[in-house]
Amino acid sequence: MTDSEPHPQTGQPVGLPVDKTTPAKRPGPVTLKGRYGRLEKLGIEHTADLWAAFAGHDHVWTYIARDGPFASLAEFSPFLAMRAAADDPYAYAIIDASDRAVGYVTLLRIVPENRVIEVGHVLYSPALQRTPLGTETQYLLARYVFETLGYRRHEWKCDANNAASRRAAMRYGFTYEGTFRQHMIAKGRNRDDAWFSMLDSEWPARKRNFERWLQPENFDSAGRQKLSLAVLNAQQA
Amino acid sequence: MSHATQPVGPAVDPVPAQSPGPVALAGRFGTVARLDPARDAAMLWQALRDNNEVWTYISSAGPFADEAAFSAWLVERVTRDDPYFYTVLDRAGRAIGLLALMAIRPDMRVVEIGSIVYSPALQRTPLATETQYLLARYAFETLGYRRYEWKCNSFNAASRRAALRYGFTFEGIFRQHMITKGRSRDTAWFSMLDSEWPARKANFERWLAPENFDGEGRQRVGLSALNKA
Repeated sequence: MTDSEPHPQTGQPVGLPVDKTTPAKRPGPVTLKGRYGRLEKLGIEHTADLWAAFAGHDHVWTYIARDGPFASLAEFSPFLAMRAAADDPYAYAIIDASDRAVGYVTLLRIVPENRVIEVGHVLYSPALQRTPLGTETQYLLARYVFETLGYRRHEWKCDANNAASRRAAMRYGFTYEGTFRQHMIAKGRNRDDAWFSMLDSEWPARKRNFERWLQPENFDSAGRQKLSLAVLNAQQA
Repeated sequence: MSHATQPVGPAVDPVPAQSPGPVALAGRFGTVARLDPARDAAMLWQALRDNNEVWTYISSAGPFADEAAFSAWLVERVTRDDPYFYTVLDRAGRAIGLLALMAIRPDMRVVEIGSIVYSPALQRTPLATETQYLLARYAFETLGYRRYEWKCNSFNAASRRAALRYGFTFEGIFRQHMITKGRSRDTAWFSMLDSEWPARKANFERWLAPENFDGEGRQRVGLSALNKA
């Protein structure tokens, strides 16, 4: 339960004053370097790599509310140009250690004055799914959001039917908050949305777990994890 | 991979809902009409002045120092399509409350009822409840929405009770969802669905019927009890 205090004039319970009410910063064209790869501003130069990574894997688009799948590079290219040009969602390409773009991710519903932002449109190709870089991407973005941009609420939402996304949110250390019934009509179908968040006050502990999980000693010679991130975060919940 | 292995929701009619318009919704106890600052401002100020507590949980406005500041705010509000404000008028034509359809997403067929400012003259009256009935009926039956949202400051116990009493379902709390008036605000979320509306409507109508009130105007059956049943 969040702390409250009586309103100074009316006595009604209200939330505590926020120490810093200056707005958060908007995301910008930074490069976020990790151990397993990097994030950089999405651009049309990533089109060919991303098409190669996504083509033939239409299932990655099923739970994206509006976009995809795409039948051809000719259809995909203008979409990617539009996605790269937008301010909200603001998209980053995910580049692996061999300099290939293997996915993209965006920051969206950017509300600097409330210091609230969402990570979404998470498009991980099969080459990125279930890799350390897939997790490192979330670490790099959350660190940027909390430490550089100054947000205090980092949101995750997904189609309530998307079990993989719900598991991922919990594994990364987001907290489930509820499901909005009939929240959208997505690709002609009803969509209920499951909502998750991570708070600035929770970030130091989440960050430590990300860093512990990502370090090379956490992987055996076959690249298998020793400690699970889901277990690390569940222990702290 | 096919939808057989990735569960998805059922197909729905994707024809967009309509945006709210300048209607007057007439009830038994009063009328809900498009905000008209020229008609309403002075009456609303009389009803709301010296009752600053009605503004505590309104995130974006109030309290106001004087009638001029309040009127200027109403004049600005009425220029907007979203939030789209309505005034609550009693049987004598007195403006005694204010509320809005907002976060209007016709493509998703989702709309929210909010910015609810009920003066003491409106609070806990049949018209207060009828107002919610009239606007929900308008949203579902006339405009074609399929999700009708209610949200409030999580510390606003009266608003949370009201949402449940009107037949909304609690969905969850967004932590640190806003910074309002310099303070951290957690937001509690509720919704009513088009599929639920016929039963909610029947309960509203049963509660609002003259037979439900005794000679002193006291309710015989509570709306909360009807919606819980």
